[in-house]
Amino acid sequence: MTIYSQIDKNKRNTFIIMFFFTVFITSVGYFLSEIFWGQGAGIVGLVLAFIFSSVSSISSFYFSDKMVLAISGAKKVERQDSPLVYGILDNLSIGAGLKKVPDLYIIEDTATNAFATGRDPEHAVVAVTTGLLQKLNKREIEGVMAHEISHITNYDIRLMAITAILVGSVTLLVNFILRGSFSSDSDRKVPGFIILIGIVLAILSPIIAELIKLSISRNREYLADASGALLTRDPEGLASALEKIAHDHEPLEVANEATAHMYISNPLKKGKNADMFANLFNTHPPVEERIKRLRTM
Amino acid sequence: MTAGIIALIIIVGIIVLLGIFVLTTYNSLVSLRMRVKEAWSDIDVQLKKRYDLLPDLIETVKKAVNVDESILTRVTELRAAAMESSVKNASPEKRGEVEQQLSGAIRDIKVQVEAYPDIKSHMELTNLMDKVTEIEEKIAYSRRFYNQNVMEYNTKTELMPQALVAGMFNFKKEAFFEATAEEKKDIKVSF
Repeated sequence: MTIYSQIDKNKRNTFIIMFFFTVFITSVGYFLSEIFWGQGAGIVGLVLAFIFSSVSSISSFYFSDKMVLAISGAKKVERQDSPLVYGILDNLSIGAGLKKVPDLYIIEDTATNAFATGRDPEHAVVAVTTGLLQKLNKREIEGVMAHEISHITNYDIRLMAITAILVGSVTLLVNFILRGSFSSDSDRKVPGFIILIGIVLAILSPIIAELIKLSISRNREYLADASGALLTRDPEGLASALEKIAHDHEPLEVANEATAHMYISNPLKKGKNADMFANLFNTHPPVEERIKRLRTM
Repeated sequence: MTAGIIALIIIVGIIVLLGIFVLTTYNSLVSLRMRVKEAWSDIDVQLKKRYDLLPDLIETVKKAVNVDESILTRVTELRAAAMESSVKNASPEKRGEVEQQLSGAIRDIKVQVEAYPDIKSHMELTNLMDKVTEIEEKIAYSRRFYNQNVMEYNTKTELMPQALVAGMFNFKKEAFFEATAEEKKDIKVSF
């Protein structure tokens, strides 16, 4: 698969996810109102849910990047406050032929991680943790930034942001309800309808899983590694950055199941999440394998 | 009668398909060539910034430290030659030759200046040196982007059957700028 077919595929998958989100919420709205408002009321629920889901799906196309940044607690950095990193971004943008240099956002956290987001290359943002900037040298930072710039030029950022917001919100909701309805806590009273929703969602969850797979593929990370290395002509820079990131076991507090797939390396680390949905998002390829591939380039 | 009509439809169909092929190939060649031109003007911008910076650098070096006079005059001469070929709109190959010599001469200055023991105390000079390094990096990146676009365009003018369309409308191969042997190879990131 070349970069150009990757761009087409990303645009198509973004549309598919928006479409299924609308269908999913609309049908849930229909069934819930049939059940709770009595027969025949389903059509009202259907219309309401359709309006709600199409509005949120379209607005997430424009605002999902900002929501992701807000969820992650990322703050914009001005040019004069970080001339070194902006210098790197300037160079890489020239090399990748980006018309606009992405804005830099900082997450105040000692963990080492980074992600890129936005709806297209003209509205793109790169976010890094303060830990990453402190622990990596210039060459390694350049490697990481080249990886993120590749996500931008490939339109991975659009698909990943939409997935985080639309599929992520459904997943978090399903997780929440499932945990509530199938909880072994006997003294907690769970209303019957919550259990019912839980069962419906549990049946629908394979569909959600399929949607997540559209957005997350191991190849996406390998491709960004490879085209990043092609951009800097220095695979070793990214390889040694990944090595440092892998050896750093500190989890990133602001990341969650919905946003984990956007980061350069899995921010949740091991042991924090054992939920059935969490693992679906955690499909980062093993760092060792990525380093090995970079070193054999 | 009906056989005649079917044959006619088939012939017309083939002509239409051929027309579509020629049209799309022509359009993609035009836009690829456009990208090469844009990438070239990006390089030009960076090179001009370097011309602007060099007189300043030479003056400051002269004042601050003791380096070989011959290296400084060489940079001045090469800068003049590079600017002349820029004004004349010389081919990327020709300009590449001069610019490469200029880069080499600048590197020589840097080596000598950096060998100076109390170089850190000359703030103005170290600032200028950083600026030069920064521009050299930008030139390197814009050069890569340009060569990559040239690669893509040239490949398309050579591959069959697109080469026929390229020949028909006289799309000529574009020249690389200071390309290494590795950059002239067609590297594809693919899975």
